[in-house]
Amino acid sequence: MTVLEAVNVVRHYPVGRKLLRAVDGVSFQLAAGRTLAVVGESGCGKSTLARLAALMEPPTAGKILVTGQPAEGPARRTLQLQNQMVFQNPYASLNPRRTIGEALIEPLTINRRGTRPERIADARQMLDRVGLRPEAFDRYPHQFSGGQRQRVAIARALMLRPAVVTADEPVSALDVSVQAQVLNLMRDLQDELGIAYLFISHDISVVRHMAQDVLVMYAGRPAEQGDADAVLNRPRHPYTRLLLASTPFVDPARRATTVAVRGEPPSPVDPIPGCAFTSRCPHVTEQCRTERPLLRLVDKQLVACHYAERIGLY
Amino acid sequence: MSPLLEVRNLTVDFGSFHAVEGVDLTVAAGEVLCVVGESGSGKSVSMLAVMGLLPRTGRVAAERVAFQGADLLHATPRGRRRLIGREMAMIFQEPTTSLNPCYPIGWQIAEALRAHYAAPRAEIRGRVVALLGQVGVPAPEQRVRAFPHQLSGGLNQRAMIAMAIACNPALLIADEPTTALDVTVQKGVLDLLVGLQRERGMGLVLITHDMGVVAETAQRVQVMYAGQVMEEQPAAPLFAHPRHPYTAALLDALPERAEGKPRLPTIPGVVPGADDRPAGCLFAPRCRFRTGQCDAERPALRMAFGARVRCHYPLDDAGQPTGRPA
Ligand SMILES: Nc1ncnc2c1ncn2[C@@H]1O[C@H](COP(=O)(O)OP(=O)(O)OP(=O)(O)O)[C@@H](O)[C@H]1O
Ligand SMILES: Nc1ncnc2c1ncn2[C@@H]1O[C@H](COP(=O)(O)OP(=O)(O)OP(=O)(O)O)[C@@H](O)[C@H]1O
Ligand code: SF4
Ligand SMILES: [Mg+2]
Ligand SMILES: [Mg+2]
Repeated sequence: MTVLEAVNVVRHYPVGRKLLRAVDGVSFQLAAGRTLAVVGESGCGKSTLARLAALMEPPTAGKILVTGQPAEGPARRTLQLQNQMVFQNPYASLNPRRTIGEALIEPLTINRRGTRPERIADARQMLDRVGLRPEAFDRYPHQFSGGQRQRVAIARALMLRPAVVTADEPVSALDVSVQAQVLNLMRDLQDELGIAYLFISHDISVVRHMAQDVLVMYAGRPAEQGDADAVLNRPRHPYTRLLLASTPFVDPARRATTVAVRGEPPSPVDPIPGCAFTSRCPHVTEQCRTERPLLRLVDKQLVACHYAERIGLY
Repeated sequence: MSPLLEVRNLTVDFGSFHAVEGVDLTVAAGEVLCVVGESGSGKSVSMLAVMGLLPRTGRVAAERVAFQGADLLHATPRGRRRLIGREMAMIFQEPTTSLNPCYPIGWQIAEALRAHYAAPRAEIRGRVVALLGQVGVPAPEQRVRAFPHQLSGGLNQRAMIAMAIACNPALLIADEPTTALDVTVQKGVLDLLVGLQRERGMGLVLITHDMGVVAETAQRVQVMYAGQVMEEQPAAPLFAHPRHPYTAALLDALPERAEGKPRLPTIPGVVPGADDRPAGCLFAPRCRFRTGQCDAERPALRMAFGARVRCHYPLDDAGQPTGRPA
């Protein structure tokens, strides 16, 4: 069952007299119990897409559907509860003056779920579920480590039993050993509760570990998307290939031999008539500069490149 | 040949808390040493101590801290600055702390250059633009006039790297220089730093928590945990055969090494804080090979299998502890 769907969503921000195209025509479908990862470089629109998906702001064009229903009009408010967000910095997202218990109960209170004793019982159960000790209930955020705070943030997101959790770089601020604990927790919760994750990360190895599907964004647009193995093992878009070739790996066998990094990403406020990657692409032609490549099926994935078939495999 | 930088038995205390304990560190010309370890393990503090840049609350003690053979430990701040001069540069973890918000970045880099070269204005300017280009700043001609607040964190980070390498330092200490950067830019910056090391024989101390970066750049690696060096060896054997149980556990927890496994191996527990540091091995409460001896006695750093290891039972090629009572 598709629990989250984006249909050609666009998000523009006015910047001076120009328009900044933060997200420019992205579509995806996410089924229950699955993980879709969004990758791409800083400023490519990942967080903006996350906010659109979590219904924290409306798209300029296109639509979002949650559990099959369009998030429009009065339905938005109730559908919002079905998609909860977890952020990179758990400290910023928790009120320092409220106990962990209060933080967990709050979403239930606001939405008038259950009686007060039921809410408390629910919160205690959730604490246990995310691997925190019962004492945590009466403690304050500053008394916890980064990894523990991220557990709290995940617990809080789950209090309303959403169908989807949108996690924006949830482990990027954590050390490797703590990251492993939080990723395991997220997978356990997914297996148990059937949650779908929209998982934003810049770490290819983490994405490979967590996601079945991947969306690679560049300058607000989809560059390549589809099955994670296909996209990450046999990338077809020159940007995906550059991204993978630049990623440092521990295993020498994974490393690409050469990468020529050149050029710079386009200015986000200038209209891009053709492909967004022309300024850095080794395969660029005149057609790329004038004609925007649309996503099309090449092999097992969708690729937005005029020459996707021709681009050699690793 | 004497090493560029030589640090023996460095300890840094904040009050009664040992932030760094008994750290040895040597870097030769043309060498890349990576220092890895989790947050709070003392990586930044040990380098700031070497540079003499810790706040007064940090008490530094060592047997020896020498740069190009000259003693830094007993030098006055002024003497230290003279000894270090432009020969030893540092890229700080927090870019905002070393860029002055009141001046354009190009001016700040030019200032670093002018202290070293007497060259005409135009030539200095040309070098500044070239340096910014080298560290991957797009449109460097325009960026020279930008103030730090007008640039993203990543661009400021690159401006700082440009400033640090402006004077061809003999030794560069880079504290998480690429953490804020996209991998495509990171790749360019790391290639640049390694290029300087190869071509000019610059010594490089690279502090990072990214094992991929370590694997791709380091010649030698130091693994820190709770203020101590737990293991030190050349990069390739470290990744093939970690000798310390902490290093082994850390590498196991990498998603890259857990392909096909639904769960990642984890290290139970947390890094000990200021008030719960164990008397014996600092890793003992989390170690799967811990014995009574580990709790009773703090292991010394010693040679085993060609590595320096702070463990009573260094791991063999099969990852099994040696000399451990059954
Ligand atoms: N509220 C806003 N007003 C104006 N511009 C915005 C706003 N939010 C985001 N942007 C711009 O939209 C673009 C996409 O930003 P976004 O935060 O989505 O990127 P990102 O992929 O999450 O980057 P990062 O990896 O750095 O988190 C950027 O150019 C950003 O400056
Ligand atoms: N000025 C200070 N006063 C008191 N304690 C400090 C001070 N600076 C650092 N510490 C403590 O010293 C320890 C080592 O800190 P350090 O900054 O060296 O860690 P690090 O290994 O660089 O971590 P990270 O990966 O997060 O940068 C930490 O426990 C830290 O809290
Ligand atoms: S000394 Fe003991 S506790 Fe410490 S790492 Fe070695 S085996 Fe583990
Ligand atoms: Mg973001
Ligand atoms: Mg540090």
